Amino acid sequence: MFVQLIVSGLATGSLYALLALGLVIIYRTSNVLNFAQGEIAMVSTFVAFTFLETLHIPYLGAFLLAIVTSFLLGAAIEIALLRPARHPTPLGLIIITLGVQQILYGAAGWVWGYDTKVFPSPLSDTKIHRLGSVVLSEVNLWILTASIILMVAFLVFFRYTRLGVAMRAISQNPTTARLMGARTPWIVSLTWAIASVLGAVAGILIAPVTFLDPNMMLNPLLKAFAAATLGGMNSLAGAVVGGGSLGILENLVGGYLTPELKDSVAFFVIVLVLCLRPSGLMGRHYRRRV
Amino acid sequence: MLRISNIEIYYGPVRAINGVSLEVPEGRIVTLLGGNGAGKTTILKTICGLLEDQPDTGVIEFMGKRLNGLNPEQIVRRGITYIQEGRAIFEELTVDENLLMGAYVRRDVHDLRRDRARVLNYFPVLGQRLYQLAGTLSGGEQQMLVIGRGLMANPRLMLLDEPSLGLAPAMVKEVFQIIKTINEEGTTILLVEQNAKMALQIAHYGYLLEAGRIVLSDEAESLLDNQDVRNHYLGIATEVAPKGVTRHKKKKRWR
Repeated sequence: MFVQLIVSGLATGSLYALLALGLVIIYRTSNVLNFAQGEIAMVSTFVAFTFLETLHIPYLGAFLLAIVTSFLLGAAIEIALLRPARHPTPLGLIIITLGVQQILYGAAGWVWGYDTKVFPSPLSDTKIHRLGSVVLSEVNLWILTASIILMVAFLVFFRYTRLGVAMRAISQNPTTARLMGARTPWIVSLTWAIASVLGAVAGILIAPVTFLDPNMMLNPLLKAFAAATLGGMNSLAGAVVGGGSLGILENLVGGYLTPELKDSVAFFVIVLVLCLRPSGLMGRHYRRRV
Repeated sequence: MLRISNIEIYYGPVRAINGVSLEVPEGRIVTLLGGNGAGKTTILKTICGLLEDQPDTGVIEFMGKRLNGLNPEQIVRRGITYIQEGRAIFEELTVDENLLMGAYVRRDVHDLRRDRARVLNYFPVLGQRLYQLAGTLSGGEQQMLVIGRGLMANPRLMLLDEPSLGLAPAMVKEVFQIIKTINEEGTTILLVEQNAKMALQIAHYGYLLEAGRIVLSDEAESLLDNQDVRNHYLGIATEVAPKGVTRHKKKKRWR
């Protein structure tokens, strides 16, 4: 029972981790909390749905096309709505992302309707795999595999590639980064595109379980904020660890205490972390010298 | 190599630089001296494109090509690296990642490895702290990191802004010695300094900037001997008492 709860919690948690990773990437490069992260993922999932249902493209093709769409959508939002802000403060930009969230929410409702749809997926929620004593549904197995691959890929990218290092450098000193030759505005757009892709993957993976409607990402996004806070808002590895542990914690509370409290755990975690360890589990925030 | 002709620079309605011309020949160290607010940093920022729409008039040429109107990302690709004053490191990146950022525009992996070894040879202390966050370094180490990071771009022209700022005297000597070595190994340097004495000792040529104008320019050795320079910049002035009694005390002035 215990191991079972942990493994299935880990599957949910890895989705939170994907979303949280997107939040942290944007936060690290532009000091903005992206409230539109969830809606971008939701719209991308609807796009995948349209490709599948209306255009009858096979699953893998629809998946890839939706990823490309979300990449472009993320970059377009940054270029069209955030970049034009003159002398922006982080707070002003955060308000813009709230506006973007509302626009996307309304647009999705207008185009696809507010009724709940079933997302057709070749992955079954009822077919199960047995790993020893642990039972894992096919969907969860794929969620786990895909998110682990993605997360490892991005952690490597941010740690070891020139572009990844530049993304982290820009948030600390944009002027100096420009002097080193980094094309700052384009790199920021790219982080938005990457974050959107992470969200889209999470959305498409989660859609067969939660069904599809404009509200689908509201809950996961709030959990992702909790996961990012838990891991330390500026640590990529922290987002992954935070997501995983939040998923497990949630499942344990749901399993041993009461399912009603499952969703509250995330907020309890936010409050607790901010009181006890504001920089999160893995956030190493360096205090600037005077 | 770098030729600036008659530039004027404005901050909004305020004119900060009034018709400055100067030249940095290849292989030389040229120093630009002057007090606070004389406009030294303004000139450097304009060369590397940080001030938008500036210079208002005048031409900046590098290797015979105009730099006016280019942005910093383009200018650094021409081979000009600007090393800002005040240790502008990336605090939350490691020393190693800071150095990697310095080489951002480079694609030649082999030469890069050689230059990295060269930087670590100049500043062995950086080698010991490669995987430490740059923000945890001491002030002197941070200044070394900033210069080392600039070198990673393997620039043809290095613009150095007050490398001695806030360093202990012994450290200043060490840093200037390294600047001299860097120059001897082929990098042209435009050095902005308040520490006129140190700067003139390693430079070949010097310009004196005052309130946005060049007031004096000469070979570095002649500047060191020049009476006005000695009085105003090197802090060596003998004061004559009203009654004609010579005081054996040197008056120090910082401008």
